[in-house]
Amino acid sequence: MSGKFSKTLNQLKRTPYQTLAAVMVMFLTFFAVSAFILISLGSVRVLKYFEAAPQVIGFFEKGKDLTDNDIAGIKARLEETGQLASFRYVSIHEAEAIYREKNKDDPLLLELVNYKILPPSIEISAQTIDALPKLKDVLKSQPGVEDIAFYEDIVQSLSNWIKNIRVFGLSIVSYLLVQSILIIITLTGMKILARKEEIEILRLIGASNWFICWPFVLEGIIYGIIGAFLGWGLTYLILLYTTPVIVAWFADITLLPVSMVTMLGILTMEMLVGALVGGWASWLAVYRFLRR
Amino acid sequence: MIVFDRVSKKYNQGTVALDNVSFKIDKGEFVFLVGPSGAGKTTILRLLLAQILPTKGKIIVDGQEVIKIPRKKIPDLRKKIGTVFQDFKLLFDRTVAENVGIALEIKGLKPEEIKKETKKTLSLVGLEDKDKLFPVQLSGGEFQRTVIARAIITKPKILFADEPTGNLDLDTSWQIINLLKQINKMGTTVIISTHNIEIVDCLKQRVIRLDKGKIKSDKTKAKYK
Repeated sequence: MSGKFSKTLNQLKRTPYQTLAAVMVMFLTFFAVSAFILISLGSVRVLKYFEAAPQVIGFFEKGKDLTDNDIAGIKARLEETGQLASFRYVSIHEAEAIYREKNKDDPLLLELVNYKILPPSIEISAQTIDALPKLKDVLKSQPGVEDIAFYEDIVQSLSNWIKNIRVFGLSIVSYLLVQSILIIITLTGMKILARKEEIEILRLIGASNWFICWPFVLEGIIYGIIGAFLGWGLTYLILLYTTPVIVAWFADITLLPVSMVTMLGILTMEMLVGALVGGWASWLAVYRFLRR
Repeated sequence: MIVFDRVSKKYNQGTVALDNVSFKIDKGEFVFLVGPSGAGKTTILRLLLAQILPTKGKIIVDGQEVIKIPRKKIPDLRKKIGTVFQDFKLLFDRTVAENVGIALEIKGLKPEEIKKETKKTLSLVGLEDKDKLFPVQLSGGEFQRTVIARAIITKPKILFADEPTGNLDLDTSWQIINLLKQINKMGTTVIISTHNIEIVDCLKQRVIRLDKGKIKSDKTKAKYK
């Protein structure tokens, strides 16, 4: 095997521009694949964050806490729907604490507000986004509810955005994969034509199709593996470089760092796909030639 | 070993290369195929290697009917026939040793076995000190010996030499023919296609004479006695 590998490396060195072109196109494809995978993983976390956050908040009369009986009654009615995922009562004192924590750097705002002017609230989330309108109606119909904050639209539009990103990303990746396959088929075809005489001689002295095929297939596998590694490497470098910006942008959402296990998993998967794509494309080119 | 039974070959453009040709070559025979250019000698080689198929008739090589061999099994047939091609068919970017060893590589032997056998075969054809040279660095005779070495290294049952003395001077031609005789003595069936009548007459072996795709005569070895 090592002999076959070194012979293949020699072949690659003999055609440096073709090799470079093949590796570059594979690199571009796997750069897009890596970026798409990381964006997908990130967007899933963002969506989960918003799904886990309270999606409906009911505000009650300012400065007056609800009794335990009131809270239990409202919770029971919401539970009757069978769609309640979480329920939290925020008292006026808790509301004040949250307000103070959020505005701790602005003394003027802290001076103006105290618990007497803050409303108690009930924060709920649904098991599914579809169930939100029903829960909202139940909460709105409870005595003492003065206002309702409803985040269905935010989660729904975020979900739509993620769906669109996936469709767009998958389309780009599919396009680049097809382009890589076609370019490798073309480049291998050129190499085959350059070595047509040699192939004819090998066939005449009894070489099987596989004997003729494997150096080209191995070349394709090498293109795929190198391209995948470079694409992954550049994506990882960009991710590391932009980590402070991303962390600051998504302040409350823990997106980074992506664990090394995840990154190595992505690399392994990409190298396997790269080897498969490169090897298959080369095999296809040789097979077409040998069938003539 | 080889049977041609009423074989005809007509090419697409209408040229009749072989017309109802029948002959049988036994194991261990030494046979000359003679005739002018276009007589059909090379067509016989191409039919033996299943490079082309006969238009009519039956060809049997080592018990197998060539036309019935599936595409995938054709390499196995070709491995049985060591071939010295008229146009040599050497790989110019590989050394003599690599050119010779490739036949064993195709058979799937390990590199160390290939190295050992190549050395042995090059010594048999008198090229032991030329192993690292490239084909362009060889003389005509050395070139031909390299092709013969590649053809015999796998110890094939049949050796077909197509015009092996074509571009060689008389001395070198005799050296090549003697080498082929030596290979024949080791048990290999040797078929030489040539138009070098001087060598053919001297050796007094079986001669199949072809002309315009037809067998004109088949003079067996016994008829010389």
